[in-house]
Amino acid sequence: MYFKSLVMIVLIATCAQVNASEAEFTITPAVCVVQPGEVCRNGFIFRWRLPSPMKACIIRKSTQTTLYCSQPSINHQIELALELSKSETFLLQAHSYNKQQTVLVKSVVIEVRQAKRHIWSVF
Amino acid sequence: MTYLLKKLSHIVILLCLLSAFMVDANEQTDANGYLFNTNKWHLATAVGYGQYANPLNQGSDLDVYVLPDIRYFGERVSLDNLTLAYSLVELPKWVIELSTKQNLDGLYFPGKHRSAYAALNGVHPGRPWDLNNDSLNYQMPVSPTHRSLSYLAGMEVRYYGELNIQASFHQDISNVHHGFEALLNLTKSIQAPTYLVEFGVFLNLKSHQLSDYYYSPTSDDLLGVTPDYEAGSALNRGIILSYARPVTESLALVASYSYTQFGASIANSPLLRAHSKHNYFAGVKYVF
Repeated sequence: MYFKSLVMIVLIATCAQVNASEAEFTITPAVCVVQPGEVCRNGFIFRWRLPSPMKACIIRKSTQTTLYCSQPSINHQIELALELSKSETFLLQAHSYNKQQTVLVKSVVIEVRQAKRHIWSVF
Repeated sequence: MTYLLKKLSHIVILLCLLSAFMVDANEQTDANGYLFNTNKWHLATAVGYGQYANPLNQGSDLDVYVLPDIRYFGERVSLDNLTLAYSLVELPKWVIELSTKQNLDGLYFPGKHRSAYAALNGVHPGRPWDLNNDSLNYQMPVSPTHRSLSYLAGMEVRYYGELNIQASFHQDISNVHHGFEALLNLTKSIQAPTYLVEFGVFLNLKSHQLSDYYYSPTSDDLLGVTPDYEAGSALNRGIILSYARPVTESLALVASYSYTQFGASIANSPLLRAHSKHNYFAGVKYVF
């Protein structure tokens, strides 16, 4: 009985979480699945949210190449066509806010398999 | 108290699902939780509370507390609880594989080790700490009577895209009913670092032989009365709603609900007390 109550309390507490809004930076898709030996050629959507309007730039970490710089804004989204031969990290630089995200390049069968059910699935 | 907890779990599931749909769609990204490292075992368990319907007359709906999740992915072979598969083709968006799986209809009926099979299948009544039970709980009188479990083999095709599509055909290989079942499942998955929402619709065709074996009453089921109903092929259909909110990389709040509307020939069977069934589960899932 106490176990059930504990589970319910955890559920409610977790559900009630509210995202703290600092700078946010995401890249979609986060994983590029390729056939072994192939290069990932894909359009990637870079999205970010900043606490106040400011200019921001996306930098490819491995080559320190600036891929794109935005006009001052809070929310921004840009799609960039990229060719990745391996997993790469991208930096978002906006004044004192620095965020980074990594796009994983994975070879199907050799590195990863595609499951029928999501990792968080219960049914 | 138990009643209140059940009601509370209903509310939690509803709130979780609602909060998921209220999240800004622009936050959507593709974390891709469908990808699993090759040549590795993946063990997880969900702990919480849920209830699975048993649609048979005299069959009790059961509380569920723990759902094990055991998977292995080799370069060709894979295991997903009781489903064994061999991949023929695997491309970044397509998978074609031969697979075997447990038929789930037999799990409703009295028989040996049904609880253990049910728990491992994750979608039917089962209590993992009750694995030695020979049968699910039935109120008196015991009707319907025993049916054998069946094991199926066949082929499955999956497409991963904006809409994930799964189509499969599996034939009985256990010499139980000689029937088959075919499944078409469409799932829209919205994944982000902070949540996962999935909405799925499915069609599940049960052949005449399969439906007849499980859902045509026998004289034993009817306490000696000669049966006059024969179940034909049936097309079950339904929806699945799932929500997950990862707390850490290994732990997530999870909630799922499924609704199945039985095809006419199964729904009209005298063995059934309902034309549909609802399953739900809410809790936390831990990935080891």
